[in-house]
Amino acid sequence: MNQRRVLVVEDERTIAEAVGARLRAEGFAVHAAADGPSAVEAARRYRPDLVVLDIMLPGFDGLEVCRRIQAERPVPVIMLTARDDETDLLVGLAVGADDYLTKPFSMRELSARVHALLRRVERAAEAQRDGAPTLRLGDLEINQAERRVRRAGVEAHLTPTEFDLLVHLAGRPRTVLPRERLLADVWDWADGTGTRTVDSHVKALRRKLGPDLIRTVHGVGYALEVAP
Amino acid sequence: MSARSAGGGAWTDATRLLDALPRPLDPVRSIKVKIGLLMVVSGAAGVTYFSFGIGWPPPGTSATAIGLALLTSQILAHGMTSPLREMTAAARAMARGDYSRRVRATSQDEVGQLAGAFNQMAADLAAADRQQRELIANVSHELRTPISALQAVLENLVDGVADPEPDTLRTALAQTERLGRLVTELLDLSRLDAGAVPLDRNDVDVAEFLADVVREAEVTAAAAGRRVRFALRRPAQTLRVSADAGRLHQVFANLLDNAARHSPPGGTVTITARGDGDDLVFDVTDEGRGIPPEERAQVFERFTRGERASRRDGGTGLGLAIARWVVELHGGTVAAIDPPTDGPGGCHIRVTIPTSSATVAAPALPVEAA
Repeated sequence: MNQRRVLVVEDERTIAEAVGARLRAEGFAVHAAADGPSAVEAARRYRPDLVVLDIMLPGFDGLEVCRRIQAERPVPVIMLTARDDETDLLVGLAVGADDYLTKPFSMRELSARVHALLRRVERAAEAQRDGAPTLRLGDLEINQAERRVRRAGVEAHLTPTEFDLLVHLAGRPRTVLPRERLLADVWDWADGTGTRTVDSHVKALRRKLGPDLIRTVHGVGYALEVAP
Repeated sequence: MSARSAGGGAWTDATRLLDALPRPLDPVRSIKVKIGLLMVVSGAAGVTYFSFGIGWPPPGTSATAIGLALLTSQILAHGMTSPLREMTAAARAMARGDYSRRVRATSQDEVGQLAGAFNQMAADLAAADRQQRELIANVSHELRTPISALQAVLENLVDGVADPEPDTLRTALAQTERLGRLVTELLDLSRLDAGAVPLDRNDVDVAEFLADVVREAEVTAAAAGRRVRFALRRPAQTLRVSADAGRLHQVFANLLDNAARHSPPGGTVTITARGDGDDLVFDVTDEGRGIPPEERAQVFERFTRGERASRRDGGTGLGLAIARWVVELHGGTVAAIDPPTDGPGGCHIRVTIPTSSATVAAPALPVEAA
């Protein structure tokens, strides 16, 4: 049985231990790190399938850890924040975090998110194995097998979540997809409470691929706008 | 006493009389129109009396004169009332929480002064608002951490992920205590903020006072399982100071607790007291990693603790802010200074308090850097 590995990076020992105990009980192998440098080192040696990462860390902070880990090897990251300022959130997403939880958070919710994120990544890996086709929409080219995206010939570096969101939107171009629907399909969240997550990721996509690509339909959702 | 009340009575009577007088121009909605009305009506009154004496001037001339006067008044009055309108708009914006608007204050008269004062007020309110937000963000951050820890531990217990062993429960207890300490210190700080804490000064024997503080710090450190030694260097002569012993105790308990938290296992925390002219100088040193020079000024502000690196130490981030306030209330200073070059090079906090009992006006509570 191939046990999946989770790296927990949190400097508050009580939280780190409790999260570790919870994830072990759910069948994960857990490794813990308490500061920035050792987190990057652990990610390199331990090669986790997923990282749970606190933003406030001694050494250098969680955003920097995320940037460095992602630069070496793309891995899904769930961020833990204690300040719900928008900036923390957006910067967090810009450095390649796939999801975030605001403290205090529920352990049940955390483990649900961990499972959902891993399921999503595995589904994407399957699509890759099955040789999913390359989508061409106007000047946008989405290579699903290699998980690469180019717009007007220029390659953009997307996080796993951003990529999945783009593929979903590209599956039905020029059609409005409601936020709740995107949340359910891309994030595997049944309830519609995380619609801000969708907004933040759309913002990240616009920044990387150009502001004209995705149209906001106010109060409803988003649509991919490309020349037919 | 009776004269004053009589004078007060006359004053009230005069005010009442003035208030009773009609304000005929109140319904007019513009100051410029009021000025026009003022000129025309008072001019007309004068001219009417004038005409009784020497007869009416030709009607064409009168009409032209009135028209000219009105035109001149409108041109001269341009910009006179616009600061008032701007202030109205800015005040409405402020009520909605937007403190960014400023009013053009070029006029030299009362309206110009009002506009200047208004701009100053807007700037002060904006700064206070920003500090308030910053403080709330920090407080919520500091509260969230122990609450998350508690929730994590308790949820695991409820879900059967962890067993209710004494160790687990002790962890939960420690987090609860940290929350309690945080709330107590926040309340303390808000009381200090409101200036509601008077000093209860007494004659304090410094050596005895410090021995007390150290004894207590030893108990606290032992209870927390820290292997730290406290060394007290008593002053050679007897030193006395007029101070609020309770408050000062809080300051030194906090400084020693901080030093113990940051000491390596088996380290020594040294506390010295000596007289220096009219001042008493206290030094608290530890053998920890110390505070980098660029962070030394900030550690006395609320919620800034050396680069947040010490979040695991269980401190609340408020102790040093309270210590600074209490010391300043005694007319003294507290600062992190360079550790002696021949020592182990840890953190070195120096508290200076004047021995004289001269009362000091309460200093404004240090506010955090914006």
